[in-house]
Amino acid sequence: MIALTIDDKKVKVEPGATILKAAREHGIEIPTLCHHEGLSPLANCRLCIVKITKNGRARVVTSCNYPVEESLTIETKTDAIVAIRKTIVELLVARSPNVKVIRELAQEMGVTAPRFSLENEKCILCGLCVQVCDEYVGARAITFSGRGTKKFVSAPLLHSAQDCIGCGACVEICPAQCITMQDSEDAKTLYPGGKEEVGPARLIHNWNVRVAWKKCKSCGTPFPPPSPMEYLSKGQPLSKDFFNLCEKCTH
Amino acid sequence: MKVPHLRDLQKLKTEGEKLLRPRTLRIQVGAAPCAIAKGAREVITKLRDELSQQKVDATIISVGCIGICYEEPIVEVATPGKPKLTYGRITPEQVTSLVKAIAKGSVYKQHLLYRTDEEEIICTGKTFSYTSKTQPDLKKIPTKKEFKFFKPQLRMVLRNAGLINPACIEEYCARGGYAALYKALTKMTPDKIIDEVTKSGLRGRGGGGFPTGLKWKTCREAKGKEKYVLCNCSEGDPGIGMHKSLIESDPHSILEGMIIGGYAIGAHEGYIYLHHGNPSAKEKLRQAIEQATAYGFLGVNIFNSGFSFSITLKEGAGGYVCGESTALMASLEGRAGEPRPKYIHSVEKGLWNNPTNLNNVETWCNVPLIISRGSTWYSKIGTTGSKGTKVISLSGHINKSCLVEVPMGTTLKEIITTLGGGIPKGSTLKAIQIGGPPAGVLPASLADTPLDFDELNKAGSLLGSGGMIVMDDKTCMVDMAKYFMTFLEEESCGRCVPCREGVKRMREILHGITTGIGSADDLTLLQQLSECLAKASLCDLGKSAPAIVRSTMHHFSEEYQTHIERQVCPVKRCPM
Repeated sequence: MIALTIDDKKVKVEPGATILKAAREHGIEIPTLCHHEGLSPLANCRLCIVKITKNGRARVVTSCNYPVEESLTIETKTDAIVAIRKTIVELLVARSPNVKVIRELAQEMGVTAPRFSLENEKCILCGLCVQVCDEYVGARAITFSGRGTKKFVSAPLLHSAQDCIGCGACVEICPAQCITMQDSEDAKTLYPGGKEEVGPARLIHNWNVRVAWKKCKSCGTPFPPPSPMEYLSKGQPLSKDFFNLCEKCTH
Repeated sequence: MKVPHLRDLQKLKTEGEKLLRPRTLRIQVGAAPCAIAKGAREVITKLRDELSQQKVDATIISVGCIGICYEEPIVEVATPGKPKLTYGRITPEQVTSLVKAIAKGSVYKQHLLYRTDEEEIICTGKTFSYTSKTQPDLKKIPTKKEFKFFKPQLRMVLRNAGLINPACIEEYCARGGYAALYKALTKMTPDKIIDEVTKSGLRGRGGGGFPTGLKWKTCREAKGKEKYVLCNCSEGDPGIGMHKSLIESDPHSILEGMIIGGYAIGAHEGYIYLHHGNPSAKEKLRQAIEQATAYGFLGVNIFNSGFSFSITLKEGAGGYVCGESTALMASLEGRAGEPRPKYIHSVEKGLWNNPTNLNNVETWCNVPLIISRGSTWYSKIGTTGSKGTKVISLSGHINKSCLVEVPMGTTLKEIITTLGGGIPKGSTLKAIQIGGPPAGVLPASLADTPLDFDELNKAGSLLGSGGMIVMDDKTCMVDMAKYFMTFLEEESCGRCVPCREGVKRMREILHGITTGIGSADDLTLLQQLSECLAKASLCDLGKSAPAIVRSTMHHFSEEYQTHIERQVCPVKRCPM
């Protein structure tokens, strides 16, 4: 076990844990936005920053991905850290003032009116949708396009996300709830060349995706793609046929 | 023709010497980027015509960057047994008269800059003499050593720039090339090489100034199946061209440094990362790699030592952020060029999670010299904390834009006055920006700061890549801060909130100040944003983005006040 101090509390932690995990295990809350327990840390939002001191040297690091070290001193709420977190939230509010999770964060941190001109972006660019699709589901259907403030999430090359399996993990994981999907029993799709398909399908609007319901490997009935989120929250890997069996046949 | 033995290398050297010092006339024309921009190609064409018309037997060689950008196009004439004569500002119109003078064996006085009686071959410490007799008619002309431009310089990294045909490996060997590689592979152990590099005091020339020997040692000791050695050639600071000049003037010095580094660290593969949109540099490197492979300096069992090494040239898509080491590695792997947090260093887990040693191109060029001349010799040059030299690209409001190399410890003032010829008449020095966008600006009062990693850090600046931009009293410092923030806003990768959103908002505030709608609150906001970016950004682009704003607010606060309180730009540059 590794001995360290968090907010003046002396604790012992399993080696390999991150500072965030260690803090949460000992009842110390650190705000996050782009973090999900079941996925590797993205460290994009920078809200989880803490002050660490080791051998007299102090640094500001993100707690979601910094591994615990012997005799580390961690301070999660210094005035300076809180001030920086507030600035980050103020920047987020200015970009996405109408996104519920951002407004809730603002209220928590005491950020009222941002001192910047307001935009109205629905996506907060946290990267969770891209990551769950890449790392957990394995479809790797969506990606980031563009750079800097012009960055956005999209289907590769801005076409339709051909590798999407319609599981909806991106829809469920999105903190801003800006990805929408719809199941349609008789969705009609017209393909270039005149071919037409009618049948039950899942549409994920953001990625221009229409995924026809698969037929169950066991009973042959078409079924909507199942959500993997429950297993992700439990930290369990998906079984090989997870996306091939309908709900009835899974049990 | 492979060179497994020393005698083969010596044969190559002899061939090179015959090319460098032929029995007939050798005319060298500077063909670096600035020279070409000033018409060097047309001069070469005219020279060929005139030489043939006037029946003068001579070879014309395109060389790399001589550094005296303001005198380009430069033509050097080496007549066997006589001093080499260097002529400046030779346009196609002057070529006829120049060739007439050459044919007569006389001097074209109007454009003569200096003469070279002897040339040091810094790799070996030996000197080559162009002439043994004193030439009475040339006594009044300054020698190269006395010439104002070269006197303060010590050309180590640029040891062959402008002196050899960069496309000719034999000429590179004639000036001591690949002898360091021979020594390293056949007479030294990897530990001894790392020891030498450490003792030399070499620090990274990319901006970080990290001790190179220590980096190599950590990488050597790291555990990994494969190890990699990388060369960062992705110069992206606005307005500088040092990497380009280095690559196009002496590409083999980069390769030799990397092979030695690979041997020391235990890597068998090297990558050179170059920005897209640099076709001439790419071609020179590709050619050099091809030649080095053909002669066996790259490939299997180099010099029969048992060590094998290959170098691959890779082009990035042109993002400034790809100069950051982890973003560079992401780009090399085929992913988007975005940095990752560096809590686990890339010397332990870098390219494809393997131990990777990345060094700047200028750092690599120092390596063969350290091996050839030894760490004791090298460590005598420079200051206590910063050994060696630095290549500086000098531009801005200066009389003479140029590319120079000076020992560490040379003050910024010396570079500006002696090498740059000072500020144009009617203007005074206001500020110096060295190190590119990540570095703070220095006011004229700090011009005595020496070129030194630690001294520049103390003064609030950064040595960085060595691009030095001089600003006169007609520069608006707020406008300048806005310019750099606009650049950084376009180049931010967008991964983390502080940098992506913060740089944009800082640029917006500066835009407001420069258009007459700034307020005192803006200055507080700029400070708060600066603190947020400096502490919470994911990589050094974001962390150092506030440096220009912070330093201009600190040193030129009255300018900000005037813009805000009186809605007036003191130098009438801002549109108010």
